[in-house]
Amino acid sequence: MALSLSSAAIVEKNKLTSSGAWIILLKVVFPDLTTIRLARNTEDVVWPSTGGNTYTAFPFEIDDAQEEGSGAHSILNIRVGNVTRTIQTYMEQTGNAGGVGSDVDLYVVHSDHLDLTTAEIHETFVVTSSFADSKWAVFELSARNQVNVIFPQYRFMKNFCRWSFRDYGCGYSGATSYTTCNKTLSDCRLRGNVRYFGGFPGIPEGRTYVDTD
Amino acid sequence: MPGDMPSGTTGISRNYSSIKVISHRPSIRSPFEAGYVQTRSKWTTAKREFAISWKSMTAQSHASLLYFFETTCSGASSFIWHDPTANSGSGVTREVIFLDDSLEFDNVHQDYFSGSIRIREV
Repeated sequence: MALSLSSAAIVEKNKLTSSGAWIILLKVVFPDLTTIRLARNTEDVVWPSTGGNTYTAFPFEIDDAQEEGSGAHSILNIRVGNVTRTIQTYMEQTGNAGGVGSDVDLYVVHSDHLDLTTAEIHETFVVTSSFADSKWAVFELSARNQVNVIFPQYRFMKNFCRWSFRDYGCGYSGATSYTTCNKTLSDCRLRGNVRYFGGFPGIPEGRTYVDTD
Repeated sequence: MPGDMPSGTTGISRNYSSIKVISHRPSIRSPFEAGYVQTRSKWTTAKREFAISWKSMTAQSHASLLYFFETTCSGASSFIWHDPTANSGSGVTREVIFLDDSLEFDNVHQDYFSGSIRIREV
């Protein structure tokens, strides 16, 4: 898709000299929904300047994108400073799986036009692998793998609940001290939550019915 | 909150012999065949670096500086430095770090030390 630039960006691009800087902003939403916002700059950046979020000045580097002719998704490595182990702490939080599966947004904005609410460049990625050492936390970014997307979204199964434990469909209130379930009807009965069971016990044995809508 | 670098009575900040001030404001430059150069800033603020040298620091000040480097800020923590080079007087403070992993001072004239340190704004 062709890249479209704002009129302000085109003016900045064509200037022979400019005191403003193109700033790369990074937003990472970890699987537990913890969000960090970082700016590749020497001071914090608030974007948009009115009512926006603060992106903390933090060292991170973006490697060149790697593309293959074999049909594989292109890969982009991003290295975030880990000297203080702060980023690693986020990666190691329960449920964050080292950051794999995190949603990553890269924005490019211009320091003289932080009032614009649309970034000049906005790319969205998902973290497909990661590792950390004493200096860097490295995230391998790629497009979301469509093969891993559940389709169709809802499947009707006899003895397997489609809800995640305690989510909006499960409705488990925590009256008993359970923290997990194995998604079966018997487990749901033990928790006194059978009225919200997300499976379909009435389906005859040995078949799965798919909603084709 | 970073701690203050020892100053004043110990003479560390006052009795220096010279301070070299380096301002870092990187820019990106693209020279063209026609002779002009397109430039733009890389970051939005500058960072200053200071190289402070002493020719005859007292032994007391030297001990105080070493203790500060080795223990108080552990060589890596940031600290507050009162910038005597600022044009507006003595009220200017900067949050800085030591740039080097080691401090080297020569013991001269028995009770005095000569040497230098490099610090940089964080």
